[in-house]
Amino acid sequence: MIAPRVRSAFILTALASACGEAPAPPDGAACEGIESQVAPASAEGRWLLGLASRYPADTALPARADELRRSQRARRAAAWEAVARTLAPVPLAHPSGLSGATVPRFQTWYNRDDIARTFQRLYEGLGPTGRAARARFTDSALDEAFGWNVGFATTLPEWPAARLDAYAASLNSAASVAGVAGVLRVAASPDAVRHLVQSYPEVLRCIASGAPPTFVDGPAASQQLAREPVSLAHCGARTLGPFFVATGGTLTARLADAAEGTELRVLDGVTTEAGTRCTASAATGCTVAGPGSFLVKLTARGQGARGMLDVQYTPPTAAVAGCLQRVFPVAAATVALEWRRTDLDMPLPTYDTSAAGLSRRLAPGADATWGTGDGTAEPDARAAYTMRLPAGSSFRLAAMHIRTREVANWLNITLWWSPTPDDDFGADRPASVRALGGPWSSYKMCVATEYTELDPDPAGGFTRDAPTLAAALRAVYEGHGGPSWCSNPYIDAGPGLVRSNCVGCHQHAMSGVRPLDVQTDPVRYPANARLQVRNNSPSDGFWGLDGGDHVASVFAETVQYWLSAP
Amino acid sequence: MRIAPAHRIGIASVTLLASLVGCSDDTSTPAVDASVDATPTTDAPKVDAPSTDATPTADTTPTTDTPVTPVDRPPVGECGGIGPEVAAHVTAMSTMGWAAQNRSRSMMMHGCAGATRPQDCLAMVPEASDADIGANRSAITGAHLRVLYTGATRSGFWTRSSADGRFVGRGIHLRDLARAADVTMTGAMYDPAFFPDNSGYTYQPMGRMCPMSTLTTGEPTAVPLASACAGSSLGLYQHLGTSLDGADYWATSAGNAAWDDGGHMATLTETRRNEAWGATAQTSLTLMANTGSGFTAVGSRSLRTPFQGDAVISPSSRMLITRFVDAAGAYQGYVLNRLEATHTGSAIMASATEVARYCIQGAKPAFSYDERFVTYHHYAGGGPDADADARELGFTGEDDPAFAEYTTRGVSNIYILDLTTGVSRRVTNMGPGQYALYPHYRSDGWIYFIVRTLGTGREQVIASDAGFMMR
Repeated sequence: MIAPRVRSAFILTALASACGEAPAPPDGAACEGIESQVAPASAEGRWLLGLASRYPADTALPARADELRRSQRARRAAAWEAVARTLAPVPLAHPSGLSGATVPRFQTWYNRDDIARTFQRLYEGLGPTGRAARARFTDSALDEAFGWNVGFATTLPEWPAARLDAYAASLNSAASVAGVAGVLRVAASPDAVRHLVQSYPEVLRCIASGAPPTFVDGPAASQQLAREPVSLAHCGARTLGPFFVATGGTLTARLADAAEGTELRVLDGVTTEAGTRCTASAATGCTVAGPGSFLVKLTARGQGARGMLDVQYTPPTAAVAGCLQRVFPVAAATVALEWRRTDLDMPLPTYDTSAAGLSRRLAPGADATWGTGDGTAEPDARAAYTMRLPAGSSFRLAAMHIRTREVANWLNITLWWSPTPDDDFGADRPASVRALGGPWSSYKMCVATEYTELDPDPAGGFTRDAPTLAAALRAVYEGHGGPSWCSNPYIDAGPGLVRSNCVGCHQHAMSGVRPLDVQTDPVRYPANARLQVRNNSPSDGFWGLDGGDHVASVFAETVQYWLSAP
Repeated sequence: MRIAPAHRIGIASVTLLASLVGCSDDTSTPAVDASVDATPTTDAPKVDAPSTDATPTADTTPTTDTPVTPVDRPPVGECGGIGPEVAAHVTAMSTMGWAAQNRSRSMMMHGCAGATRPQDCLAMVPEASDADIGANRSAITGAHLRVLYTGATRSGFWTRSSADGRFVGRGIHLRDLARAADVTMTGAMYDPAFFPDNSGYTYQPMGRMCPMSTLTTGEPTAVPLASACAGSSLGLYQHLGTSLDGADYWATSAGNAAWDDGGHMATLTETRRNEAWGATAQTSLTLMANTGSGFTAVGSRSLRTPFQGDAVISPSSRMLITRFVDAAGAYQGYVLNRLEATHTGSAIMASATEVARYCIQGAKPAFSYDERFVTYHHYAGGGPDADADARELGFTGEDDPAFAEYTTRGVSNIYILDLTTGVSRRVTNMGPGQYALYPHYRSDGWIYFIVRTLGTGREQVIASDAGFMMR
């Protein structure tokens, strides 16, 4: 139970006995979901799609954040509803050859080319004085630019009205309509993109001066209290944190009523090589001064220990997202899509995400890698969302990440196609998703909202009504307070990434740390990079700025471009 | 320069090659002509080109699994023959080609901020003057030659630029014109090439494919190709096309090519071939398929291009232009082929069908992004074409005393060929010992090329708006 004044829950906790060091991933790992798009929506495609459809965020979710942390069942239910909102059909802006044609909402969202065109329009509109001052864009300018982007094709001589109409009329099948958005890899909701372009001065500053460091100091905030019940077996140990302490602030940790022989250490740093700042009996406790990032480690030297750990600390008031104007708004959402070609003799691999399949991959000695699959399938358009480009190439959606900013560390949702869609991670699919029809009931789902799993029930409350899901959740459960889990077989393809949770990787976005580093350095990024090691996330977890679509380079290129203006 | 009057000929259906299916069974290997005439001598200006052991060699010729039939004659077709497919293709590309596609993506062309028309771009860049290549080097009245920058070192082999004109790969020297900064391509040896959609670039060896973000994010001073770029099976002399409508990338690499590194010493004629372009000459075509999450080389096929070499794929991947020789191995001009490249699954079917033949002398050409033009350079001063070259340059003939210096120091000029009409026009008027080389288009129609001058260690990179005069 966390006391009312506690701002952040105990974050990093790991029972040494239950969460031994995972095998170091081999080289070549990649952070999930940050590759570049390969054929984005064209100008004519944007004309047909119209303005991107806003993500209808559940504005009540932020208030339920603690509930979602502590209940996998509540978390999954909220995630499925977010999935339904993301996949909801949206009509095209103009008639096509397919009467009543719609695309799922995420396909209307903006891609890199949209962002480039819109930002170029906005930046040019600032004029020399505004550009020199790196002025913010006005709301009316933002509205105008997004609208102009939709009609951009109509300004091109090669796209007269008749050609646009013919283009729309040529889209006479569900697959061709689905191809309007191109082989979109990364896309963002209108609120997310609006926030991104408005943050261009901060993005440019980070490009020029570097991203904020792992620990950003600042004036001390009010003192926080974190309380966590602890139960240690003989020789058991548990590490909690990190706790970030400002200059002038302190951290005091104490395990009340601890048995004699229980040791408490405060470790200076968040890596596995963190040195000891203070050692004391747990009942006495330690106090250390900031600034710094600290872990608290309890070790039962005697016959075990049980009690309530209190940690009082004074965090800095620092910008959470130093490379943005502020954190993303609640209606911000992004998707990362994994399309697979259907016409290149490349059958879709399938993955066993049942309890047995997960246990096999996570067993001691296993490499925790999804690999090439447990089988193959050739799902048709009724079973997997499928699109066809005008050139004839056809793709099916194998998987997708959905991230929504409805909670502080985002709802990190991932979907993957399965030939057994109603088992394990699809067993609790709600009516709202089933009602979407078509192939959308063929995708399984997992979600993470925190670095650590704070649901005390390994089965997530599904033992009775969804036993296969309960068993699968048990298979990935690393203890109360252990690293959380969510991994996509198609996207988290790097070595070791069966142990993944999305949250840990995304904290590093725009920090200068590369995804490869995150996945291959178990010292600096422990527990397969799932744990919090920063007290700030420079781009609020959005990899699209410096990974994948490199939106930051769009801003930089545009600014550079205008430097040569007469 | 105008080529011979056009003759209507039966160009269609001269299929130079098919896929792995349907070819005959001769697998004889082309003879190798090991001699090279472009290797700088010790008294030539120092060049940072690949060392001897890095020079492309015949053993890098793409292997083929295609049975080859010897052809005992040069490809059919007549000089000046231009099939109707050419005009149709150019018309289609005017709205669908990469020039149009890049416009629709609002590509920011270098030096165009504030310009209302492409020809108004680069207005801030100084025109050529006597301080660099000479003030009177434009051969077209009203056209401009602008000096993008002067490289303090010499380069080796060809120069290419990004579609937006911001980056110039002058051999292994990559220049960011926007930042006026050099970027070291660590591990690169030669042959820069850029994708027409501005998504990336490649270098040799190992066909390194790099995303453009390696150059545009931050202010890089070096790009380590081994870690920042993916290796691929792209062979030497690679040229890149990108299928329209977001499908696949295609690349050609030719085992049959000319080692064109002229201008380091007097170069009086087109450079010699790395090997004989005989009856079994081939061009390798590599499919890099859009797998959905990136591009993967799924296979290569060899196109038989008998008596041809220096194959260059068009930006849309729908045309292939080659240089061709006669049975004696003398350069004759260019053949434009319609490229039919498809695949069923991972099985690639490809054929090249001649649609036009231009009997003009020139080195490896480069397509404009709307695919109406090619630009090329042409060495002059000696050889069997010396007299014609002298006249084309405005002299009375090769014996004209004013031409004498050209016969010893050589020259190279830039030309533009209109593929629809066969009309070729000279862009530059270089002096003796001046070599305008490796011209290529950027997406909006400007042409970049370099100038090497005998006796100097520097090279200028020049931009020309002459192409706009031919529209």
